Amino acid sequence: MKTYTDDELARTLYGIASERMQAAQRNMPCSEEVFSVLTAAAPDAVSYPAMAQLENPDFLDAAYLLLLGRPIDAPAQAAWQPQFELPTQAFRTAVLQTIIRSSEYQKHRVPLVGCPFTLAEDESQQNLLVSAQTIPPRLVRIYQRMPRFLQKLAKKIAGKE
Amino acid sequence: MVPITQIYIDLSRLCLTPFTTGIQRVAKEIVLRMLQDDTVSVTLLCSLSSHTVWRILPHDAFIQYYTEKIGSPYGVGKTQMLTPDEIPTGSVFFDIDSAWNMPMHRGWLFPKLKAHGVTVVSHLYDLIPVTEPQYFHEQTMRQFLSWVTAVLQYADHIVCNAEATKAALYTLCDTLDMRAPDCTVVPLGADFAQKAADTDDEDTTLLEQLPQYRYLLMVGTIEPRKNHRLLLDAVPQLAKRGIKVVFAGRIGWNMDAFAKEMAKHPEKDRSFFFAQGPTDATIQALYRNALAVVFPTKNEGFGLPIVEAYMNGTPVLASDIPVLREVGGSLADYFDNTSVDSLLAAVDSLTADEAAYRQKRVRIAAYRPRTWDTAANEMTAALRQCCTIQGDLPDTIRVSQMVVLTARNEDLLRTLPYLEANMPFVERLLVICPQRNIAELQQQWHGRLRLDFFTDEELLAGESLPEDHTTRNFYLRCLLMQKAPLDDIFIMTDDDYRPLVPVSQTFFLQSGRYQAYYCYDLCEWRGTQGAYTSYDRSMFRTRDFLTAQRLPTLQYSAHQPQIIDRTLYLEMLTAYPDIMKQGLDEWSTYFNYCIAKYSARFSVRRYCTLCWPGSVSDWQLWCEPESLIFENFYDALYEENRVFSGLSKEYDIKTNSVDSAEKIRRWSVELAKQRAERAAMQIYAEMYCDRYYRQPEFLLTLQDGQPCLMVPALLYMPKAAVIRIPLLTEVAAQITDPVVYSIDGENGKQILQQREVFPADVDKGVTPELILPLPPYAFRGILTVRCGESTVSCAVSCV
Repeated sequence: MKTYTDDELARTLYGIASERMQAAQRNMPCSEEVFSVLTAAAPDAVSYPAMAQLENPDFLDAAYLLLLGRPIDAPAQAAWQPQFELPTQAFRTAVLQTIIRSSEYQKHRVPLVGCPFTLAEDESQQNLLVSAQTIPPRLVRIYQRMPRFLQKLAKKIAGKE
Repeated sequence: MVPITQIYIDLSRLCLTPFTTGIQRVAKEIVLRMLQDDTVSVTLLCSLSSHTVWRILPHDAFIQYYTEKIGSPYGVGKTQMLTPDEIPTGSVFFDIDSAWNMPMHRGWLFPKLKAHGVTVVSHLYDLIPVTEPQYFHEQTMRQFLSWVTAVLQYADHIVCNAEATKAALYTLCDTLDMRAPDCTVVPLGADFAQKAADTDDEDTTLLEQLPQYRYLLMVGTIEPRKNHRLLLDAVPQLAKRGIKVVFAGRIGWNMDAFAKEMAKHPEKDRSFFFAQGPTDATIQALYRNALAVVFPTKNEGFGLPIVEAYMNGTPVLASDIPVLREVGGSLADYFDNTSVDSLLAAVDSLTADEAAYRQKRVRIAAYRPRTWDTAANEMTAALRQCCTIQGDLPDTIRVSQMVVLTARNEDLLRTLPYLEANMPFVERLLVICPQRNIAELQQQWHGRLRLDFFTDEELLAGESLPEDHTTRNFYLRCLLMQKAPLDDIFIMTDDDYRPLVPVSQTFFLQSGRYQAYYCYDLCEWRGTQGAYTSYDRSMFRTRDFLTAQRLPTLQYSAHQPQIIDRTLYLEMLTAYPDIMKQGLDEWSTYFNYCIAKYSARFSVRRYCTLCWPGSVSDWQLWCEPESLIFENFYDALYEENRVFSGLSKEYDIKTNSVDSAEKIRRWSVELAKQRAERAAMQIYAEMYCDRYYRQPEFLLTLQDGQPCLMVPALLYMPKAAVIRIPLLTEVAAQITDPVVYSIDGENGKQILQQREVFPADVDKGVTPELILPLPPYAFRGILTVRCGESTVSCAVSCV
């Protein structure tokens, strides 16, 4: 009798279903890699590192399924397809920013963890703080108290935007 | 007295579904009956938006909603919540709803339940999305595959609604070469309350075109698996025989082309009719007057339309597949579902002899469906058999021996009065110690508790001891099980575990179960970052061993006495003979093995220890103690300005109860402080997530081979706390530079001196942490984090 890890069993079952789908001339809903990521996903957070090994098209599939809880729709697929050749990080940043800033995500709201790039527009204010060692703390404090439009202006002046 | 079976049922899909058909109808019928059964205590659950917590559905509201359609299944008033960890050991978690559609993934949920000794039972309606996935929507099939993975890996028992489904499950397990789970077949009920349909609702235009007993009826959603195609292809030949065809249902998934074909069918509204979304009255009239109900389905979980046809006194022509033969029995006629000729032959056979046909209708009229009451009773009986609330162990067990392994006479002598006073059921203490220690112990101890001795030398029989502390500990305990004069069941303790309040045997053994006390999950154990102790390394090794063996990973080294069944310990050592010198944790290895194997003999409970850890800020608690009963004694905690300063370190019969109460009070305050800090950080994380759509995380990655840090824009922390911030990284082993961090106040004053962590030195299963001991005053400042050339800062507000 064999003992499987969860991932091994999930992939074996995927293989069985995949063969039968092929025989019926149908496509599987996602690649084996995406299926493996989805099967291992926790219900309360989406792990970026778990998706990190996926190729761009698979990453797109997984991002929709995990962050929006649905497969990508045809218009979105068509819109993203020309960008599959983009460098990995540029593509992922664009995908995640688009999803996370959408009103649909606001309803669904599964937090993304371990994502190594900025997703919200103004989270990048940290870029200004990166230079905090050279900016007097007083100025940083003033910056933090500014209304957002002034923060933007300050960042422009500081060459950070 | 027969113990009540506690059953937990997640009905998240039923609650979301406006129409209770299919699986939801089954779930509703069964659950409503289980709620009336006095032998079971049912808790109904529905997941909340966090997807890791359920709300408990009030019974009254649920019953009212699903019997009278009044109110909502959620009821009114305060929502009562439940997390998976709160389901008690010995109860049954029963998945009768379509769990593959639920947000609380079973691959995540089931291991948690199993680690707590909960029995997992899944209802399997069919395996068609695995065996014939082409008949399903892709996403349904994908979710089902994930669900089946969890069921095959973790379910203790499966309830199938047909022998054919059980056979399909066993075939799949054969294909996978894996052990098939235990299985009970409980056929569904079918005595649905027949609504007195209002004849005014009948579609008379349709019905007038359908002469009695001269049409074939097919009821159900039009989808590929149901094989409407076969009957549609037969329409011309049936028309020649003067027999019409009626499809009643709605257009389902992936049938657009078929719908167009039906709409343009040359025989439409002459020999072929499509009643889309017919009323109940129309359906009943269609059933009553049909020549036969045809069910050419490719595969089916049960085949309720057959039963519904019988209930209307109508003959059935069904696909010749095992599950329909099981449900339809000898009253139905069967045909090859790939052959129009076979179907026509079955029709011809049915119409060949009118007298025989009428006789068949008479026989069918006498049919009495299986009732939902019967189905619910059988299902409850199956669940009761799985339930292990009353454990396996006899009530007659008396524990009187305690065992301690020590080389420190002084510590043991200080602990003995506490044991003697507060654990009166313990009569004998077996001390495993070096030979040289015995004389002093015998000389110094004159209490009621009888000391027996077994020496290290006897235990080792000339063998040398491993050097590592925990390896030595585990090895000695393994030898102890094999060689020492132990009772079959005894309490194992350490020389500094002090009971502060009276403890009876029931603390260790109740309701036929050993009580196993855990304090952490080994997979979350982080240890002393940067300077792992022998204990930490033992925890990591134990985690790896348990994970590799697919055993639960709760940490049972709770620093309090625990009950041990010697036979089971020896069985574990026989099962894994190589572990004796592997330096595993003696408690976690044993309890996780036993709970996975003998869940009916153990209850899994949170620990009851003060001073584990020695200071609450030593690490972030994974769970809080269930109660405070045992002190894990540390001298240092009685020093000036420490938590127990001013209290006696030694047992004093006059002051013990007051001192113990004070220790428990002070420790509770420490726990409450950390709880408040956790809550504050949680609120901050939620607010940050609302603002920036992500958790406030510290990340370390590699970009072009160079370390690259990322920090949150803002960090709020409670003052006077020790905050541990995980540094998420997948590349720890490749980072040779240290991560250096410090906090400067806005006035330029250094708040936290430079500290560092070497990610490469952190155990592979552990996330490195930035540990920030904060001052007892509020401040604002900048946290600067550096690794290699990457330097980032974030604004800090300590309030």
